Amino acid sequence: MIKLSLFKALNNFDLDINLELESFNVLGVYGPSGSGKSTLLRCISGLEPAKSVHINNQPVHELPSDKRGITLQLQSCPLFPHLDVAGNLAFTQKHCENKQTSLTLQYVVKTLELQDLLNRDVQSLSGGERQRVVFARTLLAGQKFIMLDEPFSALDWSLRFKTLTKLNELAVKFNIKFIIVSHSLKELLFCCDTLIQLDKGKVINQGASAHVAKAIYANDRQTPLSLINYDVVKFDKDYGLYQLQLQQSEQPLFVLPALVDSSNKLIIESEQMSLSVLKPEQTTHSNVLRSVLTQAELINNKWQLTLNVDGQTLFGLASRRVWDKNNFKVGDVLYTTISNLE
Amino acid sequence: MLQSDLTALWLTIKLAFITAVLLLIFCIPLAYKLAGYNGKFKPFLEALIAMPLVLPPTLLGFYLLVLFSPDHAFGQFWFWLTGTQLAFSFQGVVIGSLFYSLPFVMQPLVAGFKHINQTYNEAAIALGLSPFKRFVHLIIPLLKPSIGSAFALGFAHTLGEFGLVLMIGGNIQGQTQVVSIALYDHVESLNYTAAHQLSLILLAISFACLVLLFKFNKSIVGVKQ
Repeated sequence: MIKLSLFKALNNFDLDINLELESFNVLGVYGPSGSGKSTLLRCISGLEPAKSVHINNQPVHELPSDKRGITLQLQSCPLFPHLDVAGNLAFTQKHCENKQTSLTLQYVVKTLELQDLLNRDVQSLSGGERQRVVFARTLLAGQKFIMLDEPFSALDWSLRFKTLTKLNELAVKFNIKFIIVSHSLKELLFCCDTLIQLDKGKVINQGASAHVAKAIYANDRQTPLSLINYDVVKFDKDYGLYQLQLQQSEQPLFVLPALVDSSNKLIIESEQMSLSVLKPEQTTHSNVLRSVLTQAELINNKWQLTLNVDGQTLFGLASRRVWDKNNFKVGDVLYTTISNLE
Repeated sequence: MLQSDLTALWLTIKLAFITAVLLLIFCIPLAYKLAGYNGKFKPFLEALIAMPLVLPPTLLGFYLLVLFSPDHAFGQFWFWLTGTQLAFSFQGVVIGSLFYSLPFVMQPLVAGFKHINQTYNEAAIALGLSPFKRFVHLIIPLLKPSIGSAFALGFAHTLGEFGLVLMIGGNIQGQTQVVSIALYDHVESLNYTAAHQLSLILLAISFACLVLLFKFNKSIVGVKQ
């Protein structure tokens, strides 16, 4: 159990947090701009004063930043311009004290694949390269409690998923607790086991990622996303595609190599899915999954459908007209065609 | 070139160097504090530091001359301490120059500290670095171009001092006669050849200082991030 309470009066509202969370590896903080996400992290780290900050009932608001055992990676965090990439990493490793993890520079460089960047001038790095180096520098501060504010916003989705997968691996291997702030629910759903939603300084939703994400789709009129877990069966050289199999299922998927990584997770957007009562034959899509409609809710004039695919959950959307015309019912077997995977 | 001109030139360079170095020593910690201070007295402090920019040097010289006089407590204290008078001495001219060039050294340093505080120092705090390590291993190395700028400006500005030196130091060869005063003497005595020689040397040194200044300004950290 991790407890966090914090109070800070802001101009438009009070940042008033009282959280009790089951232990997590990666906690996501989601909320609109100006909801207090970044201020929350800054207060926890000590960069901004707060009236009270308690972690596990221990007051930390009077401790200076370097005594809190917490590292914060700021949004648009700069590298130190008088040092090259290797110098920035070595600087942190040398000068940050009271390290609690055994992460070495060599391990971090290898894990985040930074070998080719080490001798580069920091001014010559692209936005994505800079963010990866900044993340490496954050890890080398050696703390077990790391907060990241929009850390990978400049990375393309393929590299972002890959880096988020590494983040999960580091969390497990080195027992690091990550708190990650992002405005992208897709990013948070992919990497977080626990999620909180912030609005005007208050936590309005908290819990397991999938559960909170579902509430956010309903309240914020967002397009639902689904996360499915798979195992890799083989790589088909002839077509340049991976054959996957849904975990605890025998249903196959055929996907491009760029979508496959060691996380064994795929994010499916509801726009990628189409549903039919009869199994589509001889179509242009080969990814068709047999599913069972377990729940249907009319939200914002659209039906949000919850589908069970051999134990995993997919979220789809249907217009009222399509719903009425096809006479879908909870319990129906529906065939879900997923596009843009191959 | 006259021996007296060479002496004046050496004295001017010595004065400018000592002034710039002493100002750096005083101003670095002061600028660090001022850059991070946002209290209600900030405008007053900033105005006080910038005063020499707008005051006539003779006014500054007049007040300092009063301060240095044996009738004044400070003048008496100095005499008790050293057995010498500040008025019409090289030490007195150095003290006057410290006031005269203060804003030229202070302002690049304050600007440098502010820039570093807003970006790099904050990132280092977030990483958990102690204040001492941040100051020694991050802020001072990043401040080098600003220190260079401050030194070049302070040095160049002191080179051209005239009214203040004349008020405090008078025109004593080898002690207080700087290049600008020697130049004035040559023009007064219609010795234009010597005046040209001194002017050209002063122009060259001042130009070199400004080239250095702009070189440092160019390398002040403003990284694409």
